[in-house]
Amino acid sequence: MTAVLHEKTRKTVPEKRSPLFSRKDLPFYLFASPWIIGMLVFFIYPAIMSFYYSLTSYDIVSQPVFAGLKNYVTLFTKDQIFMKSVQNTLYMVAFSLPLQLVLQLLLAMMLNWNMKGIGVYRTLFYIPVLVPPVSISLLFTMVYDDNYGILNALLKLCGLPPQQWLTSVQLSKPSIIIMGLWTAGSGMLFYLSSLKNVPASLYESASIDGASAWTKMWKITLPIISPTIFFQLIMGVIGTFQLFTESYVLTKGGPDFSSYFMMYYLYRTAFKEGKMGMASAMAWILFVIILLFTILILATSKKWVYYEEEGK
Amino acid sequence: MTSKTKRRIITSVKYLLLSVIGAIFMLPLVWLVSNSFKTFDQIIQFPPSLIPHPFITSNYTDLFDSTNPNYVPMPTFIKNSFLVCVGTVIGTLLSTVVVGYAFARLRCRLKNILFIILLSTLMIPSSVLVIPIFTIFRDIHFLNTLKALIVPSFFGNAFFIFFMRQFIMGIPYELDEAAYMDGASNLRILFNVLLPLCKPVLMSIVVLEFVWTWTDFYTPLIYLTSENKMTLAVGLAMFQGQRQSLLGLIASATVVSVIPMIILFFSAQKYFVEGISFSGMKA
Repeated sequence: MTAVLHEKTRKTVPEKRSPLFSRKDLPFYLFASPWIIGMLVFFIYPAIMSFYYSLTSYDIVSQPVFAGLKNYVTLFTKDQIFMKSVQNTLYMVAFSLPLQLVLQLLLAMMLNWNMKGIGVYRTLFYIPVLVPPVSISLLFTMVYDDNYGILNALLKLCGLPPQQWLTSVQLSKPSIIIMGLWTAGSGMLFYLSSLKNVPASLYESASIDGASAWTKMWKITLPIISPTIFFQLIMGVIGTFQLFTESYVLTKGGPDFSSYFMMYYLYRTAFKEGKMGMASAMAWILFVIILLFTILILATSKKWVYYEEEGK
Repeated sequence: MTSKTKRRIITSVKYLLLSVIGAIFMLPLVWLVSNSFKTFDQIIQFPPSLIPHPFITSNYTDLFDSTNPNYVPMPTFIKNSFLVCVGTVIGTLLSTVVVGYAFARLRCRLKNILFIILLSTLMIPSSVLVIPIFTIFRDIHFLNTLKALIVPSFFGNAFFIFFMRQFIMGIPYELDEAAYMDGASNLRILFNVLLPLCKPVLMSIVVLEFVWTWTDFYTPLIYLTSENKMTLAVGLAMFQGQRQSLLGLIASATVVSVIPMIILFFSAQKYFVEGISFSGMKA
């Protein structure tokens, strides 16, 4: 009944074709005005200007000078550090992101065990997420220290040789990956809430059919939580391409540019060297790369993301 | 082996596994807290220990002691961070509520297009927009002021607007109608009828916005340059690369930066989790 009433009142508003703007829309524009102004000032205008800057030589003090595609050409053909930063960033997307996703899911599956006191473990796994990124980097500067770091102490306890976590070209990126895994708790919560939504009846009927735990995981759990995996993958790609704090605080991009990521190089180019045009070009390249990855994931998603049918 | 003992063994193994992982997650933090109570000599000892001996508190008192030769203005950083957090929370709440209401309840021919724009602002990386915004802030003299961090929040945060819209759309439309029949204005409907029902979503916005602002590093790093304007995150990063003798202070300052987050988490856990599970839903 209420639904019918609702429909009726909606329909009483005449649906006549009219110009784009009418007086009836005024309240909307009034209420939405903070966002509309903000969107124009902090989104549309900057997006246009940033693209324009990317085609100029601009040092922020003097006026931008149009330079065509020069910035892009320089970045792709001459700038070795940029190429290095792209490689480093792709390395993180290829290794850090999958490890993150798997660990988050494994932790969530454990927390989904029906056991007394599981909430305590959930809190323990989650607490690292509460530490601000800068503080995490400062903390891991100590954890990874060659001389007094606790990680090398643990290695020694296990009879393994100490490693130069932050000062060797080979280990700087893996160190950042490990540090990222420490905050796996954030994604873990998403997985946990979607694991809780898997209907128990599915597992029961699978058990009756004699399915093993392994089969249940691949045939029931993973398909049902695949929308969450998909979401985490997209967000993870966007986030990993924008790694910044880690290289700024933990390694300063080093040693020998081994942890220079695109965002870090962009920041240095813009705000340390004042090459705003070049940095804008980098920002657009970064955006296009993220966009391509997102489209790629979206395109494949039909094959592996399972959406429940209407009216569950 | 009976199935009962078998089950008991499995349960113990599970507890053991969970405890080991929990310990791994907690170890760096425990060590950090312990370092913050250690002398410099003990911090750089190898192998490191978890028990401070002697137990000192000067790493904390030194943070707030301006006569200390290693003094970094922590009280100023903390004050700035709180100012920015409170300012952005107020700005976000005000703007999100009215804009979310507009998208949920008011009619507009261009609403669908505007809504798509709203969602697409979430997709663009901040680095694309940051340089022109930087020049705007330079021209209106916002650089190196806290205004650069606070004022944009009054223009709405796309994510929270979406959050708010979804929530208001879940409230039965009849409530608005009844108030409308009684001659209430849009503003009155929003503040007297809808907002009292929105308390959970408002709390989630407050908590999440506070956390995001408190932990944000990139934005304040770009806009704030002088020491007396810095927020805690940027101020902490300043410690980095300074003399090694500051280690104890770094440890205590890091602990200080985490405390508000821990307090917020344990006092508003419900809203934390609700906000997080919503941001998972938006896919």
